[in-house]
Amino acid sequence: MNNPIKEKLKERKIRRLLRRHFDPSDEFLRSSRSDFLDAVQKEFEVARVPIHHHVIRWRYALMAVLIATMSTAGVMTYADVANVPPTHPLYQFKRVSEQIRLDFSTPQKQVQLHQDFAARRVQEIQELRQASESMETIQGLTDDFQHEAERTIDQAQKLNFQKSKRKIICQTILNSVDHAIKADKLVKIQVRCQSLGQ
Amino acid sequence: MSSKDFNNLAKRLKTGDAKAAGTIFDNFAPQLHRFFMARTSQRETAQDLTQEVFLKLVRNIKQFDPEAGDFTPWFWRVAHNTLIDHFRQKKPQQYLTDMEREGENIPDAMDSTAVRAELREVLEIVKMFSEEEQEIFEMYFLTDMAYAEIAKVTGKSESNLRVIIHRIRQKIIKRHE
Repeated sequence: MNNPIKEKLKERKIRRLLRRHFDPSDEFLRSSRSDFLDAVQKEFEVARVPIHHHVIRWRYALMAVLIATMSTAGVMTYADVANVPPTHPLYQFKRVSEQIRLDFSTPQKQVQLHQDFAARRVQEIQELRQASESMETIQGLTDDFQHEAERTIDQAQKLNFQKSKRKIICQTILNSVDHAIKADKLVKIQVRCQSLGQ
Repeated sequence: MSSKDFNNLAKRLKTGDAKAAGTIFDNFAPQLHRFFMARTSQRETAQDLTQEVFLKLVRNIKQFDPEAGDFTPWFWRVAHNTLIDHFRQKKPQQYLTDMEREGENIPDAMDSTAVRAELREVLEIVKMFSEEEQEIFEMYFLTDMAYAEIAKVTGKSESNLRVIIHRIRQKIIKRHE
């Protein structure tokens, strides 16, 4: 036989015949594969133990962080919604929540929020006065009120609010103020309002 | 799959990667079984030796160094040594003689007298080969090894191996016509 194609075909036929005859049964392959994989697992089990513990340790750490984050978020939301007074233990959580709300708001929404927070500060100063709290605490809140009021006016100016709207904003802030706020602070706010065109 | 793929699988097996172990088994187990069947003529022995090679693979994989050579020839050297150990411990080598036993794995549709006769004829021809030719015949006809890999296992040059395989092919085909 000198025909290479015929030779190749013959070789293929013989190869197929031999392979079919010598091939392992499916059952043997299945059980043998399972034994082999068990042996691999057993052989490398010792090396895997530290990794396993490592993963579990990180998993617990991650869970602890998640629980702490969720708890803090819950406390902050409660303190903000309940509008707790400055004497309440959760008051600082309320202030942090206010800051987060500001950070995640649009510029237009920030005007309204600064205005609301300025009103909150006035309300808190009144509550502290009634409770005869120290002047130092009241002074701190007065500064915070001034800051919120100025930010409201600045933001309204920055966003080019209509004159009528700016007037309403200024009037609302000034109306919320009573004798609790020192005269010098009021004058500063009034000056700012005048610069807006009131 | 290329030599590089098998080297990567072996590297993963060294770290205990079960998926890599499964792929290596699926690729080599049928070839290995055919190789041992041809050599031992006994299905049970071929199965035992196949399993033994894979257990040796688990124990010795840490010794495999990809820098020193490819995985496939390394694996076949393990198989070859396992076979030599078997014959040293058990009995003199028998080659493809126990034909009645071997018939048990052929599907009914294939188990015709003509097929069995044809198979017996081929095996009788192979029986007359030299030891070296028989080994090369098994690797070439019964496994999926490339010339380069067979050359590495047998320690022959690739060109020499091609000449031997051509001679084997001619002997089988001419006598089987």
